[in-house]
This record gives sequence, C-alpha cells and structure tokens, in this order.
Amino acid sequence: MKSTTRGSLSRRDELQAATATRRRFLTGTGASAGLALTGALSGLHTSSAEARTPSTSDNLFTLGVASGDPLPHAVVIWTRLAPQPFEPYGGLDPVNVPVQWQVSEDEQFRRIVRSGEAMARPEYAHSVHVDVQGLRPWRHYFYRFRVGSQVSPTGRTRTAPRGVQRPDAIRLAVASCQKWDDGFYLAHRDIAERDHDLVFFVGDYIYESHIKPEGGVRGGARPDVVDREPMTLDEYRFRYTVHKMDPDLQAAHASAAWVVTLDDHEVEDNWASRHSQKLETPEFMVRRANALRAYWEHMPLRTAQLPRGPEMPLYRQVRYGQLANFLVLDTRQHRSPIVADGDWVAPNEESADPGRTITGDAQEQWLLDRAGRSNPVWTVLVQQVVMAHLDKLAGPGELSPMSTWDGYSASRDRVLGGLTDRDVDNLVVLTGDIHQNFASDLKRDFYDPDSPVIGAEFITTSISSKGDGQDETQWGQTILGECPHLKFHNDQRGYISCLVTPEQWFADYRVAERVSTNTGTVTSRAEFVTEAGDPGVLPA
Amino acid sequence: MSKRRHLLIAAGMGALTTMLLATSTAQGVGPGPSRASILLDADPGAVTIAPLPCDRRGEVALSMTNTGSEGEFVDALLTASPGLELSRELWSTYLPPADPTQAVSAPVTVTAAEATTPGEYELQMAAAEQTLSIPVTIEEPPGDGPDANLALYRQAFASTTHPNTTLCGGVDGNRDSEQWAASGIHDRTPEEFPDVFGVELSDAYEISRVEVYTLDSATYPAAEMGIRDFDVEVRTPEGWHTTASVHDNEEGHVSITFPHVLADQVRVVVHDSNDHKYSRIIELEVYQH
Repeated sequence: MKSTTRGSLSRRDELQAATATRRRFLTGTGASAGLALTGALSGLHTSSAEARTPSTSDNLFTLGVASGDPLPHAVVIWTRLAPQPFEPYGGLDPVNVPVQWQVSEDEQFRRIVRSGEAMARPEYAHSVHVDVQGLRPWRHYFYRFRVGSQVSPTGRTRTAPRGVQRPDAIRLAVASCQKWDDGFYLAHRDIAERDHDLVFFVGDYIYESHIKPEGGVRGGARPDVVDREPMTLDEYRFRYTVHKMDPDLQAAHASAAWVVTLDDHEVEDNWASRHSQKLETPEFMVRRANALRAYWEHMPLRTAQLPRGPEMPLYRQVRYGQLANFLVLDTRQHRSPIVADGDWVAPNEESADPGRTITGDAQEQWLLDRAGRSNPVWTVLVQQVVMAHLDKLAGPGELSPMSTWDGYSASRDRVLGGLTDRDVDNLVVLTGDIHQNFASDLKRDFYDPDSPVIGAEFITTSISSKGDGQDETQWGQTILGECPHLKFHNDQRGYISCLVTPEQWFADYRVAERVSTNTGTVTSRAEFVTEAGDPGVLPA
Repeated sequence: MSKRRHLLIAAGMGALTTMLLATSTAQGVGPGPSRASILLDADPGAVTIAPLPCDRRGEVALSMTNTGSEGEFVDALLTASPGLELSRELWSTYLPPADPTQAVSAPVTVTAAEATTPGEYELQMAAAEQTLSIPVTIEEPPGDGPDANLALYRQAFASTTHPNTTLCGGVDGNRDSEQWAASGIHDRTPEEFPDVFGVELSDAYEISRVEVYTLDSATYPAAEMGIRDFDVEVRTPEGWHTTASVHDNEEGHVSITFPHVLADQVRVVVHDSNDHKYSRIIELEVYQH
C-alpha cells in the first residue's frame, strides 16, 4: 500500500482554508443595489397572458434559491415563489409573475454583469429557471431575484472551466437520500459551510412514502397536505415544499452549483421505466409524469431537461475543462424490470440476462461514446445505485441487491468493458442510494481475483434517510469480508466532500454524530484517495 | 338550476354521471399551446351528507379524460358553496393522449360544518375552460333518540391514524370488513401499544351500550388481525371511567353493556391485537339503550 499522507494533509489544509472563506459568504449580508431591468428569458410557454406582481407582504422566497448545471459561459439560476407554500399555487393567484434577476461578480452587487426579467408561471408552480448566458469561465458569481419590493436571498455559484482549461482543483460534494422526517440536514449545513464548486445530488431528493407522525424526529411540523402518498402533481409539489423549506438545504443550494439526477423515491419506490410495484402501467405513467414535472420545477435544470409527459431527458454531460468529464446518468427511466422486487438474492440467470439493461441502449451507447471521445484527467460517472458487486451472505453463496448494478450484471459488464476497451483513464463512479458509506475498487470482473482494478467508486451514505445510524455494523463487516474490492464501510449519515486535482482524487467521508437532533456535529470519518494513473481506492 | 345540473342529478341516481365534453386550451407539454378535448366527470355525480365532521359519504372520485392526441397537464380548481369544506382545492395532473383514452382520477371529500343549514349546495370542478357541478344535499343530522347510534358521523379521535385509513372510518356507519381499507381505521405505530380510538358525542347522554367492531373478514379474520385486549372507557363529569376490560378477544364484534352513565365521549384503549401490530377498528357505536 502506498503512502499518500503528505499529499492528503495538504489537501485537508486547502479545504479548511476554503471553509473559512465560505463562512464569510454565508454570514455576510448583500447590500441592495439598484436593479437593471433588461432582457427577458425563459423559453417556457403559458396559456395565461396576464402578468401581475403579487401584493402580499409575505415572504415570496420561502423555498430559497439555487443554481445548477454550470457551463463555461452559463449557469442556471432558480427560485420558486411560494408565500403560502402549502396552499394551492403557493398562495399566489394563478397568473404570471414577473421576476427580476441579477448576476454579479461581487456579493454586494456592485459589479452586476447580467440581469433580466423572467416570468414565474403558475403551470410551473411559479418556478423560475433562468439560463444565464455570457458569463466568464471558472469564476464565482452571486445572484438574486426580485419581485416588487422583495429581494431573495443571495446565492453563490461558479461557472465551469473552459474546454481547454485544466483547473488546479475542483471541490465537490456528493450527496443523496434526504428523507425529511428521518433526520435533520446537518450534512447540508456542512456542505454549505465548506467551499464547494459543485454539489452532485444523486437521487432521493424527496420521499414519496408516508411521512412519520408528527414529522418524525423533527416533531410536530407535518402539514396535512403531505399526509397522502403523492400521486398528483399538486401532491408532489407539496413534497418538494416540505423538503425545500429546510434552512440547511436552502443554504447548501445557495452555496454552490448543483448537478442533480434522480433515483426511485422522486417517483415511487423501486420503479423501473414503465414498471411499478404498485400500479398498472397506464396509471403509473400518469404518476411518473406528475412526479417528473414536479422534479424539474424544483431543480436548477435547463429547459432541455423539461419532461415531455412521462419522459424526461435527464442524462447529460458536464465538462470541467481538461480536468474532469462528468457523465450524469439516469438509471431509472430506461432500466429493465427489477428482479425479485429489488431484494437481496443470489445472482441468477435472470439478473445476468444479457438482454437486461440499467441504462437503456441509447444511454449506454451515449456514455461510451462520450467517455471515449474526450480525454480529461478524470472520467466520472455520476449516478444512483451501487455499481460494485455486493454480497451480504457470509461464506459460500451470495446475496446481492437486485435493484443495483448487481441486478443488471450484463449491463455492468458492457459499461465497464466498453470503458476499458476505449482506454478510459482514471474512472471514478459517484454513487448514492444505499444509505451506507462505502469506498470500492471497480474491477473489470468482480468474480475474477486476477481481474484488473479499472476505477474507483465512492459511495455516499444518506443525508438523513435511516436516521442516526452507527459507525460500524455486523452487516457491513460481513460485506467487507465477502467483497475484497470494498475498502471501507460506515453506517452514519453524511456526504462525501472531494478535492479533485490532476494528480489525485481525495474523498473525505463526512458524517454526522446524530441527525435526530439539530445541533450535532459533522466530522471527517475517513479519507480515501485514488491517484491518477493508479486506479482503485487507498486510505489517505 | 341549469340544465347541466339537472342532467347530473339524474345521472347521479344511476351508476354513472354525465360527462362534459368541450374543446379547451390546456397547458401543453410541448412548444406552444395545443388544443385538446378534456372530459370532466365525477363519481358519484351527486352526494348527500349530514353536517357532521365524520360523514364521509361526500367522497367523490373526480376524473378527467384527454381525448386529444397530445398529452396535457391540466389544473382542476375545486370550489364549494359556503358552509362546505373540501379536502383539496386544486388537482393538477398529467392527462396522457388518447391512445386509448384513459380517465385519470383523484379523490375529493366534501364535508359540511355543523352549523350548515340543510338544503341544496354544490361542489364545482373547473378545468380546461369547463365547469362540472356536483350537487351536494345537506340533510338533517341523525337524531339522538333512544335507539340512535350517537357516534355516527361524530368527531372521532385517535392516538395515531395510518395514512392508508381515515380517522372517520371508525364512525362512518360502515361495519363491512370487506371494505376495510375504505371504511376502517388503524394506528400507524406497529407493535406499539396502547392505541386509542374514540368519539366525541354531540352532548352528554345517559349511555348504556357500546358496540365495538374490529377487522373480521374472510381474508383477515378477527382471530388473526382483530383487537385482542382492550378497555372501553367513557368520559363522565368526573373523568374517564372504564366500563369493560376485554381480554383474549377473537371475535369481530364485541357488545359492551353497563349501567347507564352520563358521558360525552367514548374511547377504546387497545393494549394488544391478535397480530400484535396494529389496532384495527371497523366501527364504534354508542347507544343509550
């Protein structure tokens, strides 16, 4: 095992220094400058021609602000107007509302570089998705919105580097699974307090299942409108409202650009393309359309990702110059039906069927093409479910999860084989879903001890789902014992904070002491690295 | 009264209501507005309820059907006459294109405040530039004669209510365990006891009999799924008083009689059930005699 101590310490120092800067931004208050009202964006059409500024004095920005999907010259900025978040139309009349926006180089909005007016439309829940163009590559910007006399909180974002540029470092967070009633969002608070250029949220942003009585650990704060499991668009919107009213989640959104993809709970537990475990396909496709529409409305996504009915063009590429190529996957909309209801069973003929796919043929071809075409230092799959092989049965035999890539082993073979065949260097996979921290080598063939290690998988635990947890469990120890490619396990809540340089990918597993209270601490539980040119994970 | 409403009342007496068909401008999912034909419907097409909080006969399945070739997102605004309350005011949904036509439905429940005067009212669904009116008849509340079930439609209360059931399901006049999911109640704290389910009477009455119905169907017999150990308590001017303690019950129906006592509330306190998980009550009835 090689020593990486020196390099890792310097990375830690960098992160800590950046954190101090981050805190200054969060605690500062942006002075209100005059607004330049020019331009009009948003390609969304509406059936309503009437536009009116609401007269309410209630806070319109109860759900915060966000930014996402940065390009070298553009970034999406988002907000949604909802003065009464649990009322129909968020408490607004169902008419268009003009929203002014500004993007500035400084937090005080003295150097405004772009501004304009967008229309918040009732058919999109008065959300605003502005694709701000004409920005400079790889630099921080501040943004805010105004309606009448009300000014939103200020968000901070950062554009991507130019295609030919190779930045010295990218700081990014990987997060998933934030069941609202399972715990407080201490991990989001930590994300916000540290300096990240990007936050990847890889699914289960909401949960469609029942919210526990009295709001679970949060106590007494559950509005009646979320009592029913959502089926309709208005009900899904209420679910997002519950989650997005959380101040720590809002702070994390306001602190950095987010790149999101979804998993099952944004729609329904264990759904797969047109297949539901609860509903007949026609009924499910209506539910799926409602769920995906609500997802788009509440995420900082471009109109290119706007669903058409139940189909959402979600998989996409986010390039960070010559340093990293992020391929953001969608392993839900195009996957074959789940074997054994997603339970842990012995891998079998059905799960290994070469006709099965977790990505769909088109996405598989797209990802191999994109990965093979570019040659940045890091090729990164940003996706939902565990790619590495898992086995929780001690001794002979296997029990593997059928909702992860283990349930689609032929698909995994094609993707990992295709990437190997294309000489893709420095493969990193970022994963969520399983509510456990793992660090894993990715092998060309997990069943062959002599098969080469071809990449690293950093699997993040949940932000809150499953509650407090503990450092280690027998379950985790068994899996570590059965799967030598797995190097680390932990069963607490948190996220992974990464520092990516041309030489090294440094992953800091940040965990919350507890999420059942709102005052716990988040600390580093483990640090792993993968070195450029030397695939696989090592303790830092 | 409009012709449409006459039609709906007539249809409401049968199994199916009359649909409305109109061409509308709905919210398209593609670029530019598209024109589609949206059918509005409600089942039942008319309801009659008493002005009591747990009268659930006002549950209506609203539906919309897209007969056009493009999928649409449509908002249905729900309003009701003064004195009526609705479980939702907005229903937004995707309506798939007609290939084949697919009715998309969502439930709404209309209830009436206790002070609402009996008479004719209406619930309206406005969507796709159309309005569907659903007549709502408010009838006199059930009487409180000697043989009347004093718990019927009255305000229920519970320690917890599982979202798959409704609080009022235990006082809705429906004892049919085959309709358990729609007309019963159970708690949402599995394997945790005690659980409480009770009812507030409209006044204090001299009561002497309580009928407890727990889940007892062919699929889910009481011996496996019903409540097992429970107390029946009444609230007297002096406080809660236990009238009976039942142990090892495996029957679907338990009748409790006791000397007349002045009480304004009755509750069942469940200490265990036969599956040791949930406390399932299909109906709770309270009588003077």
